[in-house]
Amino acid sequence: MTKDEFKKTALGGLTNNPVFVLVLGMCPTIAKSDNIINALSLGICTAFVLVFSNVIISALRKVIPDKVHLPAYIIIIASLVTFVQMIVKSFMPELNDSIGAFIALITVNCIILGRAESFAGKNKVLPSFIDGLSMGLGFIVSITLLGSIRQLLTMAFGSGFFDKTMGGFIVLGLLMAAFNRIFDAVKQYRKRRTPLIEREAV
Amino acid sequence: MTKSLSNALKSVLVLVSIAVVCVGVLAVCNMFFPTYKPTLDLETAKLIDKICPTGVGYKRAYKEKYIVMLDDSEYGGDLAGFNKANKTNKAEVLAVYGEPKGEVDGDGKSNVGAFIVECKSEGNDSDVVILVAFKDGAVVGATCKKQNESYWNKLPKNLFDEISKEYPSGSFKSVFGSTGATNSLRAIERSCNLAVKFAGKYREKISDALQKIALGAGSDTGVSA
Repeated sequence: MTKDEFKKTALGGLTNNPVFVLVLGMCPTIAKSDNIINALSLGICTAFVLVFSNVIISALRKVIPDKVHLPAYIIIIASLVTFVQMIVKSFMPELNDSIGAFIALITVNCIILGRAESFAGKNKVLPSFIDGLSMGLGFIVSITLLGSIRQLLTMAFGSGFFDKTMGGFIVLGLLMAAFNRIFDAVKQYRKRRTPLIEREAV
Repeated sequence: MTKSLSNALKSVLVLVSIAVVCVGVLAVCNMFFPTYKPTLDLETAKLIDKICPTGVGYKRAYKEKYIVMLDDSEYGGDLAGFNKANKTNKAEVLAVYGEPKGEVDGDGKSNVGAFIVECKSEGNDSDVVILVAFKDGAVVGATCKKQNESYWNKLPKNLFDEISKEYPSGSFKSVFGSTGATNSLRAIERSCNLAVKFAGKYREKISDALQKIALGAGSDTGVSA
């Protein structure tokens, strides 16, 4: 793995942020970002499944026949989700009360299946681990940011709008727009700056 | 033809192997997670004292054995046998508690001789554990001891009060209507029905056992023979 490849993979969670750029996994993102605790917990559970499913799928990529790769991925992801569910049920029953239904739904989260299909199934274990970690962190940060803003807005304006789906969509849309605007500005700035550095070097 | 057959067989074999390994790993993990075992702790005593008051408060009731947990041998029951015989009910009796002694409470009632059956049944997300109290063969109270249900809040708030007032003769759904937590309600219904069945079978034996315990304790507020 070259330095450039590492950099590209490690920054995947930012440049290809699953929520703000790829717009994947919207169902749990909207449903469970009504407060910061739910959002962070669901983010951590999803990231755990994402990292380990990437590692396992990558390790088994040469063994799994192409024709049955999707069912095989689903079995692996579902097993990891069951494991997470067992932990949450056994040790965090209060958390299970609030996000339990959505933990089971991690199995069909597009982010996980998407990374398995597009990255882990084609790359070695280490890059897949880094990709899973990067994407997982990207998901945790974005869902937690959304959850904290929605919770603050709910505290400021009262419950009934920002803690509901409609308010969630509006906040997500605004955050998405802000993220992409800032990200574009950074890219433009770097583009303009690169020739200057090159000229100085010459 | 042979190649495609071998490819198909390989695919099936790989899928089956992955599934078997995953199930095996999860089964091993499951052995290390804590499983629920019924115990008479302060929290259980509090719940029991709420649905079937001892008249002395739950702390004293727990400390001075106003509430006791009954073993099979104490009342001549067979929990495992009863559960096996009623496997089709999709519920399980976990424990039996009794009140061998008690005081007259604020309402002028005494629950001496009452017993409480702890049952569990699978709900939507987890096992729902229910306590059902019986006095003179009738349900006098019921409450939930443990649940991790996602839609628990959708159940009627007065569900257990209604069950205690008049035990439903039909299905709980016909009495309480559509709640939005159908599986949780079914689990409660199955647990309560099995508790009623258990109480019907062992009522006299449990009463005798409670009398013996009260006499053995030398209590003047115990079960009268």
